[in-house]
Amino acid sequence: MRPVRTLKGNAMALDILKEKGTPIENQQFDWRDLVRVPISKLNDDAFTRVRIILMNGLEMGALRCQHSFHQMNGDLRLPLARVRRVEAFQQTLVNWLLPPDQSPLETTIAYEQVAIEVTAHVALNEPDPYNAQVYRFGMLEDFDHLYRFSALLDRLEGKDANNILQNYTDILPGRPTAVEHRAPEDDLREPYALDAAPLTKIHALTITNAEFQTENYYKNIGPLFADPGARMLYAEISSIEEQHVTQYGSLINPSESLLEKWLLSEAMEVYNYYSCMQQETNPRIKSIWQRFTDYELGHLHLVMDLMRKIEKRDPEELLPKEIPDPIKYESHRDFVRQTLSQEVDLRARGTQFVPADQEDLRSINYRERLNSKGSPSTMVAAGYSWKPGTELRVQSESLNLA
Amino acid sequence: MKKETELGMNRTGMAMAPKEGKRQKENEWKAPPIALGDSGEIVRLRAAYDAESGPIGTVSPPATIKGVAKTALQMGKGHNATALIDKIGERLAFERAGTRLYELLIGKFRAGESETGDADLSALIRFHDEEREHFLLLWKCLEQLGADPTVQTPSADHTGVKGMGLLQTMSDPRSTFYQCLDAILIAELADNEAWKLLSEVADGMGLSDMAASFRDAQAQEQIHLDTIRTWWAALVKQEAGIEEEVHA
Repeated sequence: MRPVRTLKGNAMALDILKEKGTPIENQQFDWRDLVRVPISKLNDDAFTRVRIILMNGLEMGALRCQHSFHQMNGDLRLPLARVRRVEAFQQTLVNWLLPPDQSPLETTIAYEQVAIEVTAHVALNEPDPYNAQVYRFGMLEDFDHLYRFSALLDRLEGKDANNILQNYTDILPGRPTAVEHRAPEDDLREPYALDAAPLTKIHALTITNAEFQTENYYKNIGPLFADPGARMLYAEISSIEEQHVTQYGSLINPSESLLEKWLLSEAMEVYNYYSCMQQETNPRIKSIWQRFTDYELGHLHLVMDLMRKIEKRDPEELLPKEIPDPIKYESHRDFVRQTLSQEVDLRARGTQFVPADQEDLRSINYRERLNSKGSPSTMVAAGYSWKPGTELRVQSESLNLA
Repeated sequence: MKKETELGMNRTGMAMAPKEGKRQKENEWKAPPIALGDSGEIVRLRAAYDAESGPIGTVSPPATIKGVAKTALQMGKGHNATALIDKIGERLAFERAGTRLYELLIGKFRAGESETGDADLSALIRFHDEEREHFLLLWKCLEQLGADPTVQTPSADHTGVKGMGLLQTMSDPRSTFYQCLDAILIAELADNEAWKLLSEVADGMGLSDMAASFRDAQAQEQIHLDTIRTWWAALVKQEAGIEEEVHA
């Protein structure tokens, strides 16, 4: 079942209040459908991989949130179980699109590309200036992670991170990972207001879930490495991702009801699948985004009905009248470079951002303790400068063996 | 000092649990056939996915006008220039990763936590440097052909997948120097064969200068292989208490 889309300006806009998508009873799978031929690491566009990683993260987020909701609300147990079953299959279908010749470290490079390019788009389009600052702040940290993991990929596997990035994203130091470690008090941010713009809520949910999956991924694959440098780097960067999930998750208003949270999550999923569908270059993958846009519309309308019935609230008041402009899957190189030049020295103090010399002692002490026996991210990337192919092209012979 | 041949509490075998091991063995008598059919089912499933899947990727078109011209020239002779580019890309990836594997081997040697036998640091460093030189040579060859040396060709990608086990063994702090030699021996065996073939293919395409440089590289790789093989065998024999025989 395909929703009819109305023409608005030059873009096809989706009226999420009218389009009801695929009813949940028609959302069906079989194992061959779930386990598709994966994308090509070499030939598919890097942004196809970026979209797969992001949407897997959002489905993992849907599962996590919906599992916690049903432990807190008896009325919602059955509808949550029904929707969650579909979300779980969607997650499988999407994540299984990643190809097996992409090593866990190469996949990590792609995860950081997601964190940089999607957060950059969100920072540029976020209506709330404080939240936009939060996104810029986190983006510069993920930017540094990409540089550290690229050094590891070159120095351990002998591979070029740019084969994954496909020239869309710079490989340069950002805010050094070693100084990103902060006390929990300095990772919390101000939550958005209950009447904030729907796009502000959608952004916060998108980035929180994307970062949560990044943290999970690093925490799962870290011990698969034999190399102690790699094991330490994953331990370190996964701890920053934990901070990022704390940061972005604290943007979400804790006073929202469970149903409100569920409703916004489904709207966020519709928005993201729709964004993917609009820009997908691989027709085989585009049809998946189309199908799942329709599935998520089905979930959204199911939750809208529950809200009317249980909370006697009009869900339309919480949702955007028109679906916002889609996430732009493109290089944000200029914006990232500009942000880097202006904001790399910012630090967090409480919920605010301050110059480096005004940082609170609690975060300085926290990181000095963690780094007291050496900083993995500093060691792994010591002296590293990305060169096309590898640093070995310019390194003098045996230099690294002296 | 680490030693993989020491006696110790390895729990993977059935004999380590005399009582429960016997009960475990009862499974082969008691387990009823759970599913009909045989292992042919999964073979047919793999064939179905084979039929549905495309290749892991393709070779990029030439990066320069010179490359287009050279490709056309080869095609005019009935040759497939992209096959050569794919294989040079493979060797390039292999030599780049091989340089890193030698870094691991040198690190293992220097750590001195396990028996190193007759291995020699200066030879290890020379082999490392030669792997890097071979990588640089292949980079230049691709440029000469008008191809893009930064591309990960399908064979380069494939070789990366194959090498993951070697890397995993060699980067493990628990591995002994012998275990790392065992891994790099696999790499050197494959590398020697591949260089020989690459020089034959270049010769066949009339690229005689390139073929000559590949033969020079192969001659160095042959020394790597012979040396590694000797150290590797000596360590095993030493460990087993067998006198080293003199080879002809």
